[in-house]
Amino acid sequence: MSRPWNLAAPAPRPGLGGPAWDAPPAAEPEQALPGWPTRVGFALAGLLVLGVMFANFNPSFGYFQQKRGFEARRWPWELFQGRDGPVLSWLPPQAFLIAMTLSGLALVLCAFLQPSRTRAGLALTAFVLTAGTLIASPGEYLIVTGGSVAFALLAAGVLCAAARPCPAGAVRLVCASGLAVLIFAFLPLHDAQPAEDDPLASRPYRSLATQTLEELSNVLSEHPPEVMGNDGKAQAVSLLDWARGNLITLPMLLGLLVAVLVLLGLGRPWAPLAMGLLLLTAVLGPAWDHATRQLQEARFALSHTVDGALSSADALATFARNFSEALLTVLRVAMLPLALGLAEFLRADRRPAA
Amino acid sequence: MNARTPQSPEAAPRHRSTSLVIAGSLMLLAALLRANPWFGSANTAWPWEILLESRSPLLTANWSLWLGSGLLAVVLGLWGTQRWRGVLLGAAALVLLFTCYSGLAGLMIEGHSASLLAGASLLLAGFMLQAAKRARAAASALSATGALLAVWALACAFDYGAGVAPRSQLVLLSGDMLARLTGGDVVLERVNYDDDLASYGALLLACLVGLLGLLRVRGTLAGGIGLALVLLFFLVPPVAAYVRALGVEGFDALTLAKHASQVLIPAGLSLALLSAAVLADLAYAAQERA
Repeated sequence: MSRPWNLAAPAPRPGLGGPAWDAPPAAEPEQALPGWPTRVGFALAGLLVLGVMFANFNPSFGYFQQKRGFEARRWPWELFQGRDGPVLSWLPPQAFLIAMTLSGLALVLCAFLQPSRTRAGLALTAFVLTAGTLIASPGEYLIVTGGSVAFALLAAGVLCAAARPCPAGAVRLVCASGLAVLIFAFLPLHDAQPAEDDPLASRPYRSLATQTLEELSNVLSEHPPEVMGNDGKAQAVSLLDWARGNLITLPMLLGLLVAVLVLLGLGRPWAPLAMGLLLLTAVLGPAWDHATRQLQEARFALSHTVDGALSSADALATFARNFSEALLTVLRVAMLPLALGLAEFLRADRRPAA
Repeated sequence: MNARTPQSPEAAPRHRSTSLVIAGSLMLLAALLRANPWFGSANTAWPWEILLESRSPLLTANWSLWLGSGLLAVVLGLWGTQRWRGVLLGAAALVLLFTCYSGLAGLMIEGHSASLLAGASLLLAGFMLQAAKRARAAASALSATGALLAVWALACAFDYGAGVAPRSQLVLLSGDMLARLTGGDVVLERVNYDDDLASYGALLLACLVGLLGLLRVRGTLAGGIGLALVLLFFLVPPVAAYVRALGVEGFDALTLAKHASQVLIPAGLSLALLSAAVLADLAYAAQERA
């Protein structure tokens, strides 16, 4: 039977250990993806997608396309209820709602299914639905969006390439996606100034990686840069602040390091765990950081008004809304389904058909 | 599509890939049509002069990636082993897919959204394999996924007209196509709207052919029809515009170059072909190994 999902890879050669592709395939038992972490990953991915959907549509702080005049402060199912009964219409809220609901439910279902090609197919369909809805206009975050997709592919490759025996195609996927992550990391970022000003003016080179490394060298220098704290006093930027500010780039660069170690045959058994943590950091880290910063700003702004303080419900709403917004940016919410689904496909190819 | 070159048993399998060579050649041709001193459609310098003189890092990176990928596709398509060309060209296609949507990149894709272009690329890859009678299961999977993605991308693309409710492009185009076929009235959305209707009609038919693959309606004929329909999707608007220009202005190399580079770069045909050729090559390699 042909195996379409199997990316081109060399047939495993007998060898004495060493690089990942040298593992002798026949002598060792087949390994599926780790059981419960994968289930937890699918469940988390599903809950995040459903959470994003509920954050967009709810009576408290629903915000879906408010600028365009949509009434999002209602429950999702109320979108299909008119004054005179059920209403069937195909508008942006309905499209978003259906994509997110189907994806979320499919991913939650994946958490209860046994490892199989069906589960992999469901996860990848969820990715296609989500990405097809969100990527229609990637807008200004092209490089970071591309980096997210490439990093999810890299994670899928590492999750498989570190296993024994190494599935066909995993090593090649690690190489291809690693190369793409590397290019995205060093690709020049968009120019801040519009080109009409002076098209011939020389623009300095800036990329995600160089920016991160430059900031690190500044933080480690004798005179680190200072920022204004919430208390109004200047504070030196710490290493932790730097890490918090680079939660998109850092997992990408560390992921590349893990991938190189895996390719050198040094990735067992810690690499899947490390890559899983990096993937979670890339998905949840920037969203958490953005949401907490927005919450702090809201608290600070409100503390200077007559009202004085943010209620617990308002704080929760502010946090949830910003967390959800950040998850939708640069396809972050689609990274887990892509990585887990693709990894499952690669692994499923190594298991004998039931 | 792929022709096997005789090798010793120890050597890595070496296959010529005609689709990769065509895709790479079209990318290089597109760059030359867009930038040359005689009839460059956007620039009167050679591409390498743009690279040397550019002061925008993003523009330099985009042109370098484009030219490098084109050259690499031709070279590896002719002489490369299947083992590594998918890695190099797959990474290049992924990066190009995102960078070519930047207005500052120089080689911008304007005609279609990223998800629609990705769907069309998957459809092309599936139909290429079907037409060549290779990797049948992979061909069906690719064309069906591409069809779903393309239809979903059209369904989720909304026109936000002033004072009217947003309309899904899929609903709008389907309704207008049906009205045209039945002789009804169509509100002309923009100039040369009929070209767009024909183009998207071809894409929707291609999606139908792609989905039929899931019902085992596949083969050389289905692949050929699907391939022709996807190519029509890309080619109809610029070719129709060129024919109209030909009637008004007569033959002119500059106009020809302009329209040819229009279909190859902003409409996304070159990049879609490269992505499709890489995907088809990977699927074929997997089948060979299996």
